[in-house]
Amino acid sequence: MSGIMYLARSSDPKVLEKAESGGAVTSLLRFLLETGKVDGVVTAKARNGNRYAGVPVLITEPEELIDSAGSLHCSIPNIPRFVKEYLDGAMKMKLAVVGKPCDIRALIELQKREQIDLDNLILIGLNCTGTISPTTAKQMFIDEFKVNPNEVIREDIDEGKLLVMLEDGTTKSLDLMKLEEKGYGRRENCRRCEINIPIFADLACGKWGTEDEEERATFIEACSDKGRLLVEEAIERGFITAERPDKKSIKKREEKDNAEKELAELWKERDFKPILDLDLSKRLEYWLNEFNKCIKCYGCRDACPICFCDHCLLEASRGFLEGGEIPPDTVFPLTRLAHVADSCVNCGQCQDACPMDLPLSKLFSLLNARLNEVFGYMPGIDVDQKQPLSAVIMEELQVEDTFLDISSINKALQSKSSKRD
Amino acid sequence: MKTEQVEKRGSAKTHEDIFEPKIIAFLCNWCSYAGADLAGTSRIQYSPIVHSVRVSCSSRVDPTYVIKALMMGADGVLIAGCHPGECHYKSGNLLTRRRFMMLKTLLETIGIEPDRLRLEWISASEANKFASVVDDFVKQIKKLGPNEMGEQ
Amino acid sequence: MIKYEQTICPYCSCGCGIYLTLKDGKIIGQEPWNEHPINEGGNCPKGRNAYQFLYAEDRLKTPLIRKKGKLVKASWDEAFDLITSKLKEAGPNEFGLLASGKNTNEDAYVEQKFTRVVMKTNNVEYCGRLCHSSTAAGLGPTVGSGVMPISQLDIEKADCFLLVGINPSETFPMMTRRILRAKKKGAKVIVLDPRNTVTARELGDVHLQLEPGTDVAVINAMMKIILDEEVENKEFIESRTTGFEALRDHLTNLDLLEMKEISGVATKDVKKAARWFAKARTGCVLYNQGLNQHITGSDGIKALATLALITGQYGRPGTGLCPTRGQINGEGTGDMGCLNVFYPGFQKVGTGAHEKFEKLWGVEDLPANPGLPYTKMIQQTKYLWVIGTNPMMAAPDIDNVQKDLEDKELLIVQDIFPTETAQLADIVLPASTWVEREGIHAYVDRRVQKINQIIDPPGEAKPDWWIICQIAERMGHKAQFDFSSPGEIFEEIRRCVPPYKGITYERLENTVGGIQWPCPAEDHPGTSTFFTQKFNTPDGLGHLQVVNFQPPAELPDAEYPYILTTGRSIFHYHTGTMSRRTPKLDAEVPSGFFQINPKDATKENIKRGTKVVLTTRRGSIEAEAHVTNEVPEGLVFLPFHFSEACANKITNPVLDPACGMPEYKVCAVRMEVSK
Repeated sequence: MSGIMYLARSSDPKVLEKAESGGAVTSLLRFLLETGKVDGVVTAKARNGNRYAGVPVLITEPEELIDSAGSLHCSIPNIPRFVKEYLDGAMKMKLAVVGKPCDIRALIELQKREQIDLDNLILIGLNCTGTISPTTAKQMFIDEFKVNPNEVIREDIDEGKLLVMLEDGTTKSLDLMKLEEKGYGRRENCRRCEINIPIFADLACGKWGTEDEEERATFIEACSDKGRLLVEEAIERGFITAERPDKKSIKKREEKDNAEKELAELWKERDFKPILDLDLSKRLEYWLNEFNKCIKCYGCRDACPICFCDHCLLEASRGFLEGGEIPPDTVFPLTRLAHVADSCVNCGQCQDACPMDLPLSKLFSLLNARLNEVFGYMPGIDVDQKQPLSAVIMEELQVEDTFLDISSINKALQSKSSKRD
Repeated sequence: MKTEQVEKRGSAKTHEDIFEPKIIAFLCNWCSYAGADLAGTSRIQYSPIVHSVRVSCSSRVDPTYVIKALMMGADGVLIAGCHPGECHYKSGNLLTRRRFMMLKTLLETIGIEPDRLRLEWISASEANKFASVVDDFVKQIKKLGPNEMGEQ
Repeated sequence: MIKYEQTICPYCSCGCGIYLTLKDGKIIGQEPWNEHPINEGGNCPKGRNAYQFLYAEDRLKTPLIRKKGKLVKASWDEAFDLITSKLKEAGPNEFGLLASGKNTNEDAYVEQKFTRVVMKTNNVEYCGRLCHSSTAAGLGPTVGSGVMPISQLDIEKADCFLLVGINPSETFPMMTRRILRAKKKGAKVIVLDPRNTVTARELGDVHLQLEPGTDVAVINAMMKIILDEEVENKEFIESRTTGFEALRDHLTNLDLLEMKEISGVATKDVKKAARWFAKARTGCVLYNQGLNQHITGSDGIKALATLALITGQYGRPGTGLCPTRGQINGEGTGDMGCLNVFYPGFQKVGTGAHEKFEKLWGVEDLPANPGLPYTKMIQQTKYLWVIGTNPMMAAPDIDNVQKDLEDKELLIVQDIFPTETAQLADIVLPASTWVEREGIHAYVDRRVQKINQIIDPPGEAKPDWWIICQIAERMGHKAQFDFSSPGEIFEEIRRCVPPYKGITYERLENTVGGIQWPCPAEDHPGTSTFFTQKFNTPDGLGHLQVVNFQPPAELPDAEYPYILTTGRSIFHYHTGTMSRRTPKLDAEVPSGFFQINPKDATKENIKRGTKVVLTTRRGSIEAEAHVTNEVPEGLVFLPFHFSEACANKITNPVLDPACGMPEYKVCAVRMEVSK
């Protein structure tokens, strides 16, 4: 059941010039700020113009929006953490949040945990096929593209290629798979991610489906009433213009999405198989070897957008885990897994924050994939889908098994709930 | 801890007969603990090596307790609660079951034998079931051998 | 408005980047800085809790003057007047200044300039004396320079690591990160450490668990084996070193069995290590206090450098001896000349350096004789200015340190907290620190990075450089101290210290990860690897050193039957001034403890948590026992972070004669269960 599609463009020539596609997102944000519909906009901005230092920002002045236009592939700002930690979960302010699919999923998961008030948020999701760690990006630009990282003004991932555009207008393009096999390219979690179009946000915006347009455009899918009303009003008030995409464009978008999904499955297979092929004892040895590198910095826990306890069980002052020793007891990573793995949104921030290069994103998303199967639960895509460990369905009272076959129970429920809608 | 200890597991298997497993059982007050009690008063014989912990409901068992027990060297963890539909708190045992499913998957992904964790529904009158579950679990754990996480 | 501001962690010398989250002028959190090349977004436990100490309750906010035995609040003017009048009374060489490994280069430069221009003495030192003075005395004659010769980033290029007296998993986790990456590509790691540390367990492929203080014996044995098996790098020895014949004679006469007796390390393990290191394509040596803090510290380093030279493991990215300085400005404060025998830029006192600086500074009569080293300065000066260092916790044998400090005509302590040393001061001056002021630091691999001011200092606290300049001005030297900003000081540094010439504040702002000196010109990218063409010795060659084993000064006997060694925990930093005021770090290790081997524990009736009195010839302390196999039988390990169980109350103040380094790592101790 898809939302209403638009091919949209900013009405502001300045925005059109700076924007990567149609500039519609920037103008929608401007609309929201100027009309006071939101108190602020949360998005990523290149700090001091440095595209490798993208940080989350709260923008309250419409003029400041133009600086945050365009995507930053080589930065990894932690948007959901910014909202959760520093903006009080948007409990007391109305915000528009611009994010990648994983950012939006994290926010939806936080809503389920009452750490965020989604009623106060407009979620503007951006299509994403992956981001690159800044240091990897710079090294890759030097080693493989043979360009000066400071001269790169834009990157694009399209049809299996990574394309960079330089200050002087020239472009260079290399095969992404080949780069990634060498250890460059996108972050691990991004490679394995099959969720490219954030249809669980209020709007899903991106370039796919706009390839045949003469003038650059933004493809917007309004996935909720909130989103649809936003677009319609912005058109009415002259901030953006829009037309309906034709069947060809819609199909093109779908094809690209499917191609990326297939690639993601390949990477999943590739990354998970070696571990799944190990017998239990060797598998344990593998993980213990990795856990032994841990220096108890809590970077993973702090970065994880899903983790939210005020006084974490694993803090030394709680007395649950022996303090003062490294590596910490295996209770540490296993507790994190038990608490969070079912809702992991594959944002990869844990991996980025780990000083010892532990394969955290692999661990969490591997367990998450298996739990998804067991519970029929996909984190972050449906705010009404309760977390598996606290979602009890009365139907379960009739089942005697100690291990449920949830997928069949869920199937029955899904047909009931769609009738309700 | 050293990963050489993981290799010790193989040799321990041959000492099945002298391996005395450490097993923790979380028993819910209303059903399974009462069932265990009944087994005792009925003089039904069962393996004495299980350490019981009484909890108000099987859902009181935080998954981290299970993890901690296993990391501290428990060779097996048993959780026993009321049958679905009979929980004193209505749906506590349904939560227990979901946690159990999560834990089994977690253990298997990490490489710890998932059969070291077991969930059973045992009512207050099922003294025989309690005894046979315990005996069966002890047998199963003896076959699996010692939990190498305990060798620290 | 919420803003993410970039800065560098204030704890160790790796120089990791972090974002501080700023709201309304206060730091409310921190976030990973993924772009920083050293740590790429990761931080160790201290780095992840970097800023909390700034807001601890007992920050010094006003000057304090001791009146009627108590320290009372005073104004800056009052403090300045008192200091100036007292210092004017100081006779030649009665004054001394101890600078900090945590102040900026600008602070350090002004501190040594004051000591030399205003007080006319070379009695200027810093805490680097207590950790890497052996490096200067050991590497100076051997390769001509005691700096880390490579970039931290190149550590992961090595295929063989020799870790001597260093526990990087706890003390330099970012280096361990690089070692782990190298290990993934097959690198081998050799660990020399008397303790079975987490580094030895998790990184080490062979652990030479030697008796404390016997590094020279093991290293000599390694060299002998290398020559016996003819795996030395003949070409490198021929073209880039001198003194091989003398070394060969010395090694020929060594007896491997004797070396084994001394060190306790099996010869087969030494052979394994020697072969791996000699045959490595890129051999990287990381060493630290376990090698340095002995009366034979400089000897140990000479031997180790000689080993690297004869195997050709020098002068290429990822190779060579890496002294791992632990303070954010351990390198920089030394570069700026806060040393009794060096003017800025390591220009040696007595070689005409003072004349050069007379010209540069426009003064006359600069001191031309070496000053006192750190521990002697505490003993022998009458007027002592202590800046950002804490001898009452960090110097050995603190009961005597206390007597000496109490005996001073004037003791000024300039710091951020009322440290154990400040408690004894006549005047306490509140300093601003880290992101409360602007300035540059030089981190472990000569990496110069800039700290910007992000918040205001508390109360009336002021930057170190400003305080010095105020006094200098009042003592009639405004002309040489006419600085109104750190930027102006840095411009003078660039003129006076050649390796810094090409570095500017602007370049530093625009270069993530800083610039490694020497940087001779503004378009020069900095220097990542040293000694690529020649060494810094007068003839450009590496001078192979003949070193004989000598035992530590105080070994166990009937009365004191155990060896006491000191060291660190990952969760704390040095004398605990910052880390014990950081709740999350303090919660990990809230109190002083010591490690004892299980067999020894049984013998002494000690269990985990038992309170035990540890006694040496210097005194006694009480600490809680941790029974662990990390220490072998006969050895007791004591971290020095805890003032209530102050390790340095009982350590031995005996010094390495070549460099004034105290033997922190070995003394004799006995234990009694507390009553």
